[in-house]
Amino acid sequence: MDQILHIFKKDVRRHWLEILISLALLALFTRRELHPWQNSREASSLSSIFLSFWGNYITPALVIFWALLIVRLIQDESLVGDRQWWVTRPYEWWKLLLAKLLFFFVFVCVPLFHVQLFLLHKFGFPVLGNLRHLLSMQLSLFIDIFLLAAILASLTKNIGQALLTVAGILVVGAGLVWLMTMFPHSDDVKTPPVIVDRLQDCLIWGALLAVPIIQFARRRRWRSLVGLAGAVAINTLLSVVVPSAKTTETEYPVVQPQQAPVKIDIRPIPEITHSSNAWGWSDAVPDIYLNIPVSVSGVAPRTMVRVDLLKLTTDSPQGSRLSLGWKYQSEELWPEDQLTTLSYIVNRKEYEKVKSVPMNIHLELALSEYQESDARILIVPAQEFRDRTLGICRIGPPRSELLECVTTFHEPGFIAAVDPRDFPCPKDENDEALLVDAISHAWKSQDSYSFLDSGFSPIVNYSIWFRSASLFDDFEKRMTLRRHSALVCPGMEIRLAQPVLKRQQRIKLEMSNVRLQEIAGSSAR
Amino acid sequence: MTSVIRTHDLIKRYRSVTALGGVTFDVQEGAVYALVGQNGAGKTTAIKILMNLISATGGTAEVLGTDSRNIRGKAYAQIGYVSENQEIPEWMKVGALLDYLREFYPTWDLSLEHSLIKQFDLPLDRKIKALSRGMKMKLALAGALAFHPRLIVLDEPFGGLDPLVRDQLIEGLLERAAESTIFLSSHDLAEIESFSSHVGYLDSGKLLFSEEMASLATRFREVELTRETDQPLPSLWPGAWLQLKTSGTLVRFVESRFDEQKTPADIKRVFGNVEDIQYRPLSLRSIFLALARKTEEV
Repeated sequence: MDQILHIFKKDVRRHWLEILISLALLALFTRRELHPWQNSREASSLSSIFLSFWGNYITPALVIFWALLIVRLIQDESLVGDRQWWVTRPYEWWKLLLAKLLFFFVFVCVPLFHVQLFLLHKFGFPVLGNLRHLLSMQLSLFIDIFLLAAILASLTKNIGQALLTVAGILVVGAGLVWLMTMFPHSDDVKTPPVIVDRLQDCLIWGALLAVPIIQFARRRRWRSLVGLAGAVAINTLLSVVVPSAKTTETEYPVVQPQQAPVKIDIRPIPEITHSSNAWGWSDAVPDIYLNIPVSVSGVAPRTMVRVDLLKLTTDSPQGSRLSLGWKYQSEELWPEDQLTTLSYIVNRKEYEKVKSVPMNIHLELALSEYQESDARILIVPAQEFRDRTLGICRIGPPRSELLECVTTFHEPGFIAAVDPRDFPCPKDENDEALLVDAISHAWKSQDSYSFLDSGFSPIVNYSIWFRSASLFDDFEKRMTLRRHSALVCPGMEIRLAQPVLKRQQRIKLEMSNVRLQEIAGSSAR
Repeated sequence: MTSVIRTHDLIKRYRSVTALGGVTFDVQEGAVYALVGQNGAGKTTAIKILMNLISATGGTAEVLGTDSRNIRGKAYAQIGYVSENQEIPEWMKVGALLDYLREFYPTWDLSLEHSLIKQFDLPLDRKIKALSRGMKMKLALAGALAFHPRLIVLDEPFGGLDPLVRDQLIEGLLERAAESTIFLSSHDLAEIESFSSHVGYLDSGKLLFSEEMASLATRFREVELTRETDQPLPSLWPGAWLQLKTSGTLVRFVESRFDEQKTPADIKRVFGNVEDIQYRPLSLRSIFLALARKTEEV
């Protein structure tokens, strides 16, 4: 312990200025988090004007500064090379590592933890009830900041080398992204079987933890690098080799259309699609959206069906074929009958080969059905209000289409509906008749969050918009409306419920004798 | 006597380059062992393997009875290591560095520290980055001596220092010689000749010899003799004779295995009767020059 404290004290003497700067940044972060709804229109004092313009940069600046501090801290006793003075002194590697961890704990974790407690207290959220999340956030902080910075610091000799390495990683990453755009898109869905998922987790976590420990204990940079690269390579190989489509198909069993929670029919290809195609698009656009017009009905009351994924396969008598796997959709289908469009992205080169060939299109839709639970009516107060599901909310700026809310750690899951016809908001002279006047919905799934709470602030702000299903595919009506969401005003009744996942199913649809160019557009509709 | 350092067939290769090609030597407790050789001979490589700063490709090395691959942490509480290439934390002040070091060593001697500070004239409140190279070496040596190490390892400690600083360092070192084993590397023979008890000569990764200075001085002699005729030299002579040269009847060479009986007998066998044989002791520098030239000839 003596040696740990001794090294710690030396580090404090060495980095006192950086410690002060990080605490100052943390103070700015706290100031900003205290006013989650502040914007430039509402800013009054000099500091609030500063925060309204620069507030978004405070968290990244704080994170980058912490990471740099950790890199410099570890590189004080550089783990690379054979000229380090400290290596031939009676340092014990684990005490050195613990001294660095102690520094991180004292000057990053503890101040941030206090800020988090302060924020919870200030917003009136319970501290004890959120303690598990706070600790989880601290663990996440350790992984996201300390562990990653420690890996970088332990494999580079100085801060310049570390920054060059980060720049190199960014360049390689950008190169890979660019390379991926050169090839046809494959499955969006990367859900490997559970055992492979666990194996990948073990590989990555093992490598992330092993690298700094090996470096502190033995200073074998090339072995560490090879180990890290090996883990990444095996992980990538597993992602590529292990088929994930099977997992999706197991999660969403196929049912007959009549057993599905929603009735979906292919509509005749509307004229608007033709015209959007006729407008043409730049040759530089690398992707083409195939827009499939559908009509939706039969969603049970107090239920919402989401099209999670879409798979499109085509074939033709001439043998032309296109098959690009599952793509994410997140299309919401409500009990009101509606017309909508499902969009499917394809690579332009693949599309160009077959666009004018009459084809049969086979569609597979992966659906999730959510039912309301614990439904109740929330009457929106004029002032800021507190709700057990939503947190602390208020109607946004005057004549707003949104509810602004803050809550702790994660946005809550909810299904909400308003009917502007029952509770019309007073119109002003600008609104004329251009407001949404149909039942409108808002929805957020109760996501299965990972074990760790990420982020730095326990306070999360989010907004709720109410949108009418009738507008989803009515292009002309959308163009005429000034506002695309229902207005929210005091006294309005919101039907608020918890979403409960009832079932997940897969249905198949067919389109015959279609040329892809008839349904193609340069953007999703 | 016990061995403080022992290597056996130590090999270090960097791809196609062999830095050490099977080096075996033994440093006894209490010795002042100088590992000498030209630049690039492999001295620093050998020391880095001993200090576990790099790993050997083959062979074994033991330091204070421990496999050098396990020299780390507490093992350094008995080893004072100073190298001209070490990166000292330059942001610290001299006094702060000594204060910091003190806590790592249970055997740190505060009075010795003060006496070294005085002896080396170290400015305690000056930042290390503002010190001259000589001052930095003195500081490093003070930090390596103040805890009474069993083994002092110095890698080119005197390179590029002015004579005054060098003498101060040697003086400081010699005062500790009684309680420690000293192992140092140098390419400057003159600076180690005065105080080394043992010497090893490393040439292109090969240890040509490793022995006591006294024995070295005894077995090397410059021999000068005058032959009766100026006939060409015979084609064969003992391999221990180095740098054989003639000028008329005058013959001069370095005998590397001098023996009061055997050397005159060899001379008589090779040259027959000769007049006026003179045997002169050689300085360390002359010995190494002779050895180096022999290697170059080979």
